[in-house]
Amino acid sequence: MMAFNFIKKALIAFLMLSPGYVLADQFLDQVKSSINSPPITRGNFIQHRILVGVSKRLTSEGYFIVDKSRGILWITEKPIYQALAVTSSGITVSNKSNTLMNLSSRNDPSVRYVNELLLAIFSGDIASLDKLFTHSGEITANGWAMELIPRNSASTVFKKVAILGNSSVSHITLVSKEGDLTDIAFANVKPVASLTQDEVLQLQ
Amino acid sequence: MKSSSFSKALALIFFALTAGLASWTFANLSFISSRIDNNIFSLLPKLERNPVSEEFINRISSSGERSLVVLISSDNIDTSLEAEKALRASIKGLELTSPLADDDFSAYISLLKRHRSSLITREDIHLLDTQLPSFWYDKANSLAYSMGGLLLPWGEDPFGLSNDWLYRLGRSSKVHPYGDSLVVDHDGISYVVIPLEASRPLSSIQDQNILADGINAAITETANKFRGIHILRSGVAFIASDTSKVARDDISTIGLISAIAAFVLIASIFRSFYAITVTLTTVSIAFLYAVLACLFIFPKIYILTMAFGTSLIGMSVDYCLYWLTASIDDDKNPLDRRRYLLPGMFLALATTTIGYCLLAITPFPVLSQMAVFSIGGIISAWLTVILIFPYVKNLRFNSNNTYSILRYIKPGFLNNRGTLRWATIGLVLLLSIYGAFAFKTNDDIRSLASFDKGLVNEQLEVSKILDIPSPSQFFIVTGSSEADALNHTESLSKDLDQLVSAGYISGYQSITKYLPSIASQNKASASYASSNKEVALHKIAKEMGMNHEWVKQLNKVDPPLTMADLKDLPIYKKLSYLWFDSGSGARSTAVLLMGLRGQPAVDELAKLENPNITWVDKPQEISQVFRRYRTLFSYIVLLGYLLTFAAIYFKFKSDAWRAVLPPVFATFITLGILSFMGETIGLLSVIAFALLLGVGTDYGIFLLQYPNDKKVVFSISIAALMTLISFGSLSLSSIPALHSFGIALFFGIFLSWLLTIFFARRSNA
Repeated sequence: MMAFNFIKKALIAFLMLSPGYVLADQFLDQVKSSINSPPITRGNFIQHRILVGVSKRLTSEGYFIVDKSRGILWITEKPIYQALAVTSSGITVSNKSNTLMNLSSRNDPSVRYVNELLLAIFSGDIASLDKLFTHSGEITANGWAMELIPRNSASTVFKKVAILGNSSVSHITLVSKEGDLTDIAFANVKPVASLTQDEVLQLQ
Repeated sequence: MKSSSFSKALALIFFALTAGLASWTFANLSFISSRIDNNIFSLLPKLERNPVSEEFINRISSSGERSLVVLISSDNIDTSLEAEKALRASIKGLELTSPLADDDFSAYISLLKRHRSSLITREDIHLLDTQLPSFWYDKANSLAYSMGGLLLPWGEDPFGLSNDWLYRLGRSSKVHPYGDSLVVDHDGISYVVIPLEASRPLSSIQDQNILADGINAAITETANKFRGIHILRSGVAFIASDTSKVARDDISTIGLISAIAAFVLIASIFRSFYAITVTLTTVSIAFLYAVLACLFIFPKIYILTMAFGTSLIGMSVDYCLYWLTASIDDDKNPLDRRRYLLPGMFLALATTTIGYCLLAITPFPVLSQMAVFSIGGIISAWLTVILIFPYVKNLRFNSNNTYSILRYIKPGFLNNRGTLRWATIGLVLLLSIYGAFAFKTNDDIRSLASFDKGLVNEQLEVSKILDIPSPSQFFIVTGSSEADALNHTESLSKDLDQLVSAGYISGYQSITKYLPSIASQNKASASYASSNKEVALHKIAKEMGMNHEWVKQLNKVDPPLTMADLKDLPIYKKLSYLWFDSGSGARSTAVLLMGLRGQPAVDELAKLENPNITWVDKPQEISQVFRRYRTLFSYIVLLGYLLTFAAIYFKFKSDAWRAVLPPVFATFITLGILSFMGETIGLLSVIAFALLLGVGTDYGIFLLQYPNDKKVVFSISIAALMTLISFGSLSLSSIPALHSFGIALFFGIFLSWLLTIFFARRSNA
């Protein structure tokens, strides 16, 4: 049942929306020339979610690390702690006491795509994104804005993705098919020289 | 005079009938060629042991006929995707549709909301039974604050249980959408998958070839354009098209060899263009009736029948030869000649027809069709010779050099050389005994037809990469009701899970993955009502500001999902493929297997059979039918010899053995030669021996019937040579069935002829 692969697609879709990626064509060339793509990046995020049927607005914050050779670490610190690690061997979500989700690319080869795609995105491989989405965009006073629509509705769980950025991605909005909305703002995105011992462990 | 006018009338009727049929055939050539079938599935025997399994095989073959798959791989997925675009562009002109990733899960998701408590993965059931409220509270929180989106809105599935269920289903497919394309990963290689489907049924060879050739050309073009890409094909159309081409080549090669040999032979004996024309006309009439007989009895004519049918050239030429050689230097009235030849020719026709009748009663459609083809052909050739030839002017020939060379063949040679004769008899006996014990049997289904190795390997590789279940080895589970059938299926699934972990199979497809039994769904609902989860739900509701109704909704135990609930969903199309609704109470479902590891796996799977679970192993079933019929035919051949002996004993008394023993020895020595050559003996070889019984005893009967006619030795020798050529050329066929038939008859006919001459009574003339 190919149609049931959307969880992976969901992960692919949202993980590729991390800061620092670029797309093709004239508009994309401009985006590309304005964006930096160092080997390791680190930054903070603030996330707002509006969930269907839930009146409370959920706000969380934390930091992220992108290491082209290892993978991606997405740490939520407030109001709860949880860590998302994406590497070539799989995807795990854990809190301080439990592993809440674990997808191994050994059981499911397509999980590998999440990592490959992300790294392609960070090294400026525009072709990869273009395969999954059609885009529209404009250059604004503060940088650029673009909107991505999935080429194939079966391949992602998102109806729409919107991104704002300048020298790095500053803002992402994800709209799921069922209407849940996630809005992420990035801050202090900058290159770092190396990972800490703990971060290396989490990305193994 | 009265009988002469009667015979004239018969000749006229036959002539008029033939002329009429010939003009009808000529006017309807396109209709006839549209009835030529190259569906390789239709070659399988019709077995009614299990109607549901036959029905399932029909479903597979009718959908399988039209679908094709092309896989593209390279060291870079982008190159593969570019190649896909190029390939799709170059097959645009063909009548193909390409089903893309369909978004049929939205409907399933809405269904899931109504059966939330019933559809829960085994792992989650375990967690629900064991984990404390804090775990569920953490999980709900984690999902609420996660970065991405899930399949169901958080409000509908705060613990991600339905998500896990969907993910587990998603994992059962290896193919996943990738932008506009489909991609599958196998052994670290990414393949771009191009599923194709013929827009309309491929009813004729032409349609099939146009499609297969078109795609093959596009593949070659694409492969040339993109360096380093690797393309795999899979689909019945590719194999069928290739097989029909092989069969067509066989028909032209074998037909050409037989025809040239026949005409060279006739030309050299009779030195007459007229004789060739008469023979050619007889062969054409034989083919006309052969094809029409098949059209009349069968809905389709198999291309293999046509390939086998080329041996008809030799058989029909035989009857011409009996007449034409009898006419050499013969001044008898043609009607007297007929009276003289009729008993021998009638016996010859009867014995040969009986041989072919044995072929007709097999449950293999293609074999019975070959028999009908041959019987129709030889009877009409025989009738042409008997009814028409007496009225054909100037059918009288003079002897020449060729004739005198053949005169050196002396019946009963070595008869007066005691030691040499006994040594020969000893050798014949020894070789026969060797043959009787040395042969090896082989009833493998693959002895019926052979497919291009490269294509078969591609097909196997594609099946492995896409995890396509076996179309011929599967289980049929039956129950008195839907619930009963699903229960049995689940208990089979448990056994299959063990075989998966033991490595016998790589996986299986079962309807219960989508629709668990009522018992399993009730068990899931019981766990879903866990108080730990409920405590967590109250806590999270409070925190998120959710109302009482929300909590109530998520604590509710839902009714179990049934087949009827799935009826209107797009996914039903895929599931109903496995599901058999007999109308009354009973329900059956097929459980399909992936990645069977050879015979040990088959042995383990067969053990799982019980009154509710039927193990279907089509190849083995067919092989068993082959073995059964091979054994049966061996007895029939034995019985045939006894009956023939009994029949001619009344006429020829103590000389009767001279007609019967030579083909018997020939059969055993042929067995010896074939084993020595490494050939195995299957049903087709035994059928060849049955035909040898018919043809081989003819030689002896003729010699006994006309002991003093020197021309009879001549005509049986020519006839043997002719048969030798036409069946011998079948042994050149690349189709194993025709090859083993041809090679058995090649040696059989030659030895039978030689031994008949050897054992014949010395002629007094």
